[in-house]
Amino acid sequence: MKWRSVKIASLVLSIVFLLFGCSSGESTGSSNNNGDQVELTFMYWGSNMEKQAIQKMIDSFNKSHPDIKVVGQHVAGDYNTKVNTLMASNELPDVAYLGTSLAKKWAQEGKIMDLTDYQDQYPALKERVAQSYLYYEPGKNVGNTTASEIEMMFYNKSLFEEDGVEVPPSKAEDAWTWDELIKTAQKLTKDSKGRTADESDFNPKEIMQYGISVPSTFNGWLPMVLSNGGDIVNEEGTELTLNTPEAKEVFQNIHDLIYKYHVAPTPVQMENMPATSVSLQTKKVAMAIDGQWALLDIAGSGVDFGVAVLPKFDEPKTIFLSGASVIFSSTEHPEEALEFYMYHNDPEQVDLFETGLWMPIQEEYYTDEAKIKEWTDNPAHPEEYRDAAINYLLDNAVQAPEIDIINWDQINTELEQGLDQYWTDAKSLDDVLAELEESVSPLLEGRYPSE
Amino acid sequence: METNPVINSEPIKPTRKSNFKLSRIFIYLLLVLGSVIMLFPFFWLVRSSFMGMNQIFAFPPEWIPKPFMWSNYSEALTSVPFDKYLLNTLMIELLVLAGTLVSSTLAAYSFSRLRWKGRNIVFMIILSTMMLPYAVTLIPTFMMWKELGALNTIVPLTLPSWFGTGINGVFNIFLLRQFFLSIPRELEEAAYIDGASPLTVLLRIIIPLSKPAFIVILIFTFIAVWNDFLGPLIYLNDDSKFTLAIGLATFKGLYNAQWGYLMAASVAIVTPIVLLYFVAQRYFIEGITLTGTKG
Repeated sequence: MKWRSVKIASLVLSIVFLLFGCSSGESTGSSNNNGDQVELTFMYWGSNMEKQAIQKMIDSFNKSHPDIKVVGQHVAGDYNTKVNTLMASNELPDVAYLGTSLAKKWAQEGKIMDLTDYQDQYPALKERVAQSYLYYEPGKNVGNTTASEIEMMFYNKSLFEEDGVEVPPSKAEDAWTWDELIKTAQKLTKDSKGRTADESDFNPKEIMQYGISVPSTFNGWLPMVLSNGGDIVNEEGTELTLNTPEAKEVFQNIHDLIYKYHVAPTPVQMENMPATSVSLQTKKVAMAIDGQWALLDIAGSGVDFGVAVLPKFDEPKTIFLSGASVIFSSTEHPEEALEFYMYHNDPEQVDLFETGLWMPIQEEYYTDEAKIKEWTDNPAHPEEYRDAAINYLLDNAVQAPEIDIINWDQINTELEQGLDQYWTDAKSLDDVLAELEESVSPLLEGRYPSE
Repeated sequence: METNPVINSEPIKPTRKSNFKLSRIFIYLLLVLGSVIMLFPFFWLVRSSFMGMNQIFAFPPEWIPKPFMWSNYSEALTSVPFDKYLLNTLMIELLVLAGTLVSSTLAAYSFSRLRWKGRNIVFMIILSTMMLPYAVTLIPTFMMWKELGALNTIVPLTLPSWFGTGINGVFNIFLLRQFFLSIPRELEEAAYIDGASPLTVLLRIIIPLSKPAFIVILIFTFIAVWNDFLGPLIYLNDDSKFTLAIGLATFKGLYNAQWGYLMAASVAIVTPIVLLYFVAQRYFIEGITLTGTKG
């Protein structure tokens, strides 16, 4: 009997050792650098399709740079939890994607490399779209956003043709006024019996097709507020300026789209709607305001679509927003990391530009005719894209608050919670704004410098 | 005197019976209603997994996929290397389940049957670790594994279960201890008189009598490991080591989701758990009632 328990105990022990044995073998294997080859890790997020595109880019980088070996780490799901854990335990990758707000915060704490020092070595660092620079202190930037993205409008062309309605304009100078938007959206909003929203017997309880969808987040209302001469905070970033006539007019107007004219879905209905590409394709909406990145799925869905600029109040305006790519200061190989940094979003190397997900940050891809053709001469980019996206970005796009307002993540949580009560018609605008004044003001710590 | 009870009992009997039947029907209706409510999300999942994007979001909602999009399954399961992820997950399951059984049995036996100084205090301390939220211990644990050079391996996900911690670890010890306490001491006293050692008593008497409890532990732990997302997310970096839960998350991007694929992959990943439940259901319920009433 004793013999038996000894046998069992030894079996248990051998399993434990086996487990340790194979794992320690693995760990020595992965940290094994042969000779003078430098190993870098690059951490990123994205869909499966993005992952494949990025892995392709990494492979070709490794092929053309035999002395550097980049290992890609794709993080599915909760990116921030992972990167925060790595930060706390000093296990950061060399190069990584990062939310812009977090990137600037960590840069101020010295955890992210200042790339302005390298501008002479890599002159291309100076030739990028102005809005993509991420300055955290005057004259110091962490580099640029990974790609460029703006808010714009997409529409289902066939719906306009069917009803003989004029499509939205692609040039910023022709941007619709709010009234023009309402008129067109009314003609394209239909109830279950096919009556449009401007008919007297229209039934707003059984809407089958909406004229337009507007995101309830700042992506939807901020471009209009900016267009109307307002902003979220004042110039210094110390005071909330949403309780101004300029901003309130916009909020009221968007609210009217939903509850007075019944041409846009309520936030609750929006929740139950699929992504823009599917909403357009299935004719749930005729026009949709969304980020440029939606182009990838819209073009992929096969719907006959067009792109347009956003409506305006006064000056045509949109916002520029994107995640950042950074090099952590903890890297042991800054030179090699920079080499990869310059390569990782080069349109020559990544096909995410042609497919519609990204817009380049390299200036020449907006000015040089041949270069523009390289990424837009394909079915994903319709003819009017040149005006509605490229020129719109250059002339009318302003950095989104996530890039230039300090503490944005917390501020945005408050704003969304507050304004949602207005978008769902649970509270009056004045009440919401008064509450926001109290909850947001303590969070305001100014703006980051813009150069 | 004699007739009264007869007369009284005759009319009572049928009414009781019909009452009984009526209440039965009512109970069954209630149960059916309850299970419909419970099963509805699952039905919705399966339904959506056979649909294209257009149909999933059609309004009014459609119940039957038309056409059946089997391609959702083939594409979802091939666009992400689920076969590799399945192997990885099973490897972790195997190591964790083996470790959990060994360590929690020994610990629970010691806490329930062996007498030693400070036993109850140690047990209280161990139980109190259950109160710590995962988020609090996450970073210190991560740093410990980093120092041990075990990042990007399955060691942090499996080794703790060999020491009674890890996924569900403390809970398992608690559950087993309560179960062991319910086994009559007389059984083992007989064995001791025959000259058995404590380990023999454990192997020959306690373990054979505790099958239902072990099965509960196995099922709970299996499901917890199967669904664990945060652990693999934090500790594993290489694609080749990912688990099913991580693979599933790749269908949900930051801004959008491939719903048809996500649903198909979810069905595929949930199926083993459902099957496991059906196979082990008998022991499962037995285990819960035993530990519940006699604990």
